[in-house]
Amino acid sequence: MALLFVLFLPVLAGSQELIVDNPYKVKAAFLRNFAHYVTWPDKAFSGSSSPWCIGILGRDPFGKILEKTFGGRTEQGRTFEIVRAEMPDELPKCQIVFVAYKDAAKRRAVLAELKDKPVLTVGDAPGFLREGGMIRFQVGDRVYMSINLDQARASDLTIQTRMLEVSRDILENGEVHHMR
Amino acid sequence: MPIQLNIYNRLAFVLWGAALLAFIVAGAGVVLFQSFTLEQRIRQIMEPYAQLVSVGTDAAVSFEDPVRAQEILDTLRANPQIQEAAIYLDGGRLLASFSRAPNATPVSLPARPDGLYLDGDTAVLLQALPRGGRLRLSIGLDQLSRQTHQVMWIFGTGVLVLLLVTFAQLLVLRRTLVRPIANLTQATELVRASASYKHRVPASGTDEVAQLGKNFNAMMEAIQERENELRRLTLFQRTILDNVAYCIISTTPEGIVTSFNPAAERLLGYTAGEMVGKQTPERWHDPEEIANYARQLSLELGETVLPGFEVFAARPRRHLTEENEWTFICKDGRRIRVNLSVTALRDEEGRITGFVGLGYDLTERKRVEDALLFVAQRGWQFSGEDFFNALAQFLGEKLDMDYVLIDRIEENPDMAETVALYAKGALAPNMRYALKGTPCENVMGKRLCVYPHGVQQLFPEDTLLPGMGAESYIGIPLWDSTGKPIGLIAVMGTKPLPDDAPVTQLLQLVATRAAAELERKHAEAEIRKLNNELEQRVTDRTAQLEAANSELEAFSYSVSHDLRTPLRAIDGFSKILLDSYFDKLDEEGKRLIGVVRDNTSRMGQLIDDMLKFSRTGRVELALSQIDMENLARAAFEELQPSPGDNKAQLEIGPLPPARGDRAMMHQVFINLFSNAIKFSRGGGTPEIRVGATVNDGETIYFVRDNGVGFNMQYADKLFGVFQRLHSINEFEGTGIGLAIVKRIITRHGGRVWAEGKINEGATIYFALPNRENSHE
Repeated sequence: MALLFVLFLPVLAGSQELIVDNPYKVKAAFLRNFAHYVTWPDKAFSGSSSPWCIGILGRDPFGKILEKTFGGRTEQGRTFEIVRAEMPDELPKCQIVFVAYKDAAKRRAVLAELKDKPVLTVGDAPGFLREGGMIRFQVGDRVYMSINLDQARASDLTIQTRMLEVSRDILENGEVHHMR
Repeated sequence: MPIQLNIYNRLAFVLWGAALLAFIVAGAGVVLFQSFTLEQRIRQIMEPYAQLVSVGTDAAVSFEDPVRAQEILDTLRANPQIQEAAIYLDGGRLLASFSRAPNATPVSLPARPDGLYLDGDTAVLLQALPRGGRLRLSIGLDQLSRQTHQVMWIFGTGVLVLLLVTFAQLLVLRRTLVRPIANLTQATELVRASASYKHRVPASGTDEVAQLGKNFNAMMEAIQERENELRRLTLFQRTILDNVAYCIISTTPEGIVTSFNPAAERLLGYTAGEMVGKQTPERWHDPEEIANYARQLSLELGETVLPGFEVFAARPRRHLTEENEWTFICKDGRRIRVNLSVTALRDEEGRITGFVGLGYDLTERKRVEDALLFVAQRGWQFSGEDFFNALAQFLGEKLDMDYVLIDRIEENPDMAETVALYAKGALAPNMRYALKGTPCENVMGKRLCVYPHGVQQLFPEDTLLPGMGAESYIGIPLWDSTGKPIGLIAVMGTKPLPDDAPVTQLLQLVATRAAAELERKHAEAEIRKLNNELEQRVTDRTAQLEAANSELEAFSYSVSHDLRTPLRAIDGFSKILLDSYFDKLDEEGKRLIGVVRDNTSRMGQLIDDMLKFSRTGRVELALSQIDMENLARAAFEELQPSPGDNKAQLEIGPLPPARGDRAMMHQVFINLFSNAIKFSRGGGTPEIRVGATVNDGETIYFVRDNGVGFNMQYADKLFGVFQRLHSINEFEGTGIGLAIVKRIITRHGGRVWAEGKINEGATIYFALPNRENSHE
């Protein structure tokens, strides 16, 4: 037993780190978790068993992480499919779209385009919510997220309260509520 | 080795054992429960928290929000049991942790699979979270062991209460169960030891033990009643067995004597001790008789009956009666005839449990029978002296007594006179003795006196007793029909009398008859005395009469004889007067002379008859055999010749000869025939019939006529001297004829009588005795 402890000791010491070595790994996991905490209307899917479509617009910052995170996973009986595209037209019917554009105007255009569609828009940009995005990642000592509840409601998406509880800022009725 | 325990100890043992067992089982149960359910209980405690945390931190884990995770974990502080809690993200990174220990460094995730781990006083739960990550929850077991201790305390208290309850139960049981049962046991022990059924146990309440006590009391009551009943019955039977005159002997089915009553002891001379359990009835039976009876039974029953006890049992076994006469051989060798009846004793199922024999000494009965026979038969054969002598001898012999006195007590109540005296085996001459001071004096005042021994000492005044050597005395008074004591029977022995019953019994049997005989004898003597007196008087009177008679006869003879002389003178002189002075007398004179002469002639006839009558009484009878028929015919012929008389007709039947005086008998016929002719009715032819009948001891002759007859009223006057039924003018005659007939017949020892009716004739009968010595 003592030996076992000794053997596991280095592992235990390493896992004490909460500091994120690669925030995109966390963000990828977040993307996957959105499928769980957000409810889409039925019209968001092409069929009853069609896979989730995760679209990446712009230059993909995740690299192989996405495939690693989503590979072999299912959520509500649907597998995940990751589609990368430069333009929204190139995307099929996606439920989650990560907007990776550096260009704010470009983001606005896309977001405006997706505004009435049941698509959860996620992004890193600081003004992403004001630009019309729904969830924005923010990296500090760890990864935080802010949610534009108005936009989500407008797109007929329901975000669970539990998710709201762990968000940093929530934009609701035009006001930003700072949660933490 | 079996342990002998009384009920209390057994109950205590069981109760304590049950308590101990309950204690052990409960204790073991508690311990096992505690240990078996520890993990489950820990899970029950931890899993809700784990679930709470896993749900609560769902989103926090998903989005790696340590703040939110910490918030959730911090809620666990409310439970003091929870020591530590930590949430690890995939890859082992710690998301949030909570520890009760101050300054505790967060423990890294142990590389162990999910599950509950018990480590001393700590339990650690590792559990995967639904959205990735793992929860580590650790609780201290103090709380649980405190709970265990609490349970143990409660359990201990329960055990204590159980012990107390057990003890109380024991006390209650001792009071309600053990003590009554002990009482009952003690009572039954007492009953068993003392056979006294008077003991009762206290019994109150309604439970089974009280019921048992009550039942025991009721049982004792019933047993006591039965016991009393049995004792009474036993006493009754014992009294009967001991006092009855019958021999009662019981045996086992095999014949061994089981009881031998005092009567049997007396009869056989053996004691019960010698017989009971040792001997069979064969001991006092004649083997030859047994063998004979065995043969008889074998024939009768068609099965072989071996000589032995079976001869008595064979018939009773077959439900047949067994009663026979046997000879018992007494211890001293005497042989006694005994009537023995044997009965089988059977139990409820009808199995034979023994036999009982009932025997009685036939000598006793024989004696009574003899006495009855004596009274019935010889009492009639003999009378008077003979009877008393026979009775005295009978009593002496039958009772084996030395003296028997049958006494008569007559006018003088102080003196007794024996009518029979039996002494030492023979009859002795009768004697008289004074009653004063003798036992017989006592008997006369009572009914029955029994002095079985020492009679001389009791009656020292009696001088006869020492002479006889009398020792025992039994006397019974004899009463006549009016209840007056008229005598007594006394028997005496020179030895004391062991049993007076047979003697008194026999005396009582014969006393009545003896008294009757004594009374009869007394009456007979009275009658004889009276008869003798009467006879004497008759003889005297007869002698006087005869003297007077002969005197009278002599007188009448001499008178008659003397009268004849003057009469002859009258007759002679009146004849001379008539012959010599016939012419000088006128007719009237002649008629008067005629009257004188007629009367003189009649007077002469009278005197002749008187003399004849007188003579017939005095002359000796010259007895001879007489042919009565010839005699009668001759007499008739003699009367016939007188002319002018109506020729009478005579019819003579065969007349048996008679023995008598021929001349006198001739006179009898003359007189009777002349009467018959004389009294025939005027003008009619006299018809005379003579006949005879032979009667017992006498011959009756009769002479019947068809004359005027007579009134039977005067029949007795016919035969008197000078008695006439008709006037002299009607029929001539002196009226002495029938008187003479009567005198003659009377002198022959016969008798005379007459029968007749006026105008229908008369019949004169005379009977003569057939005996030859018919004269007086």
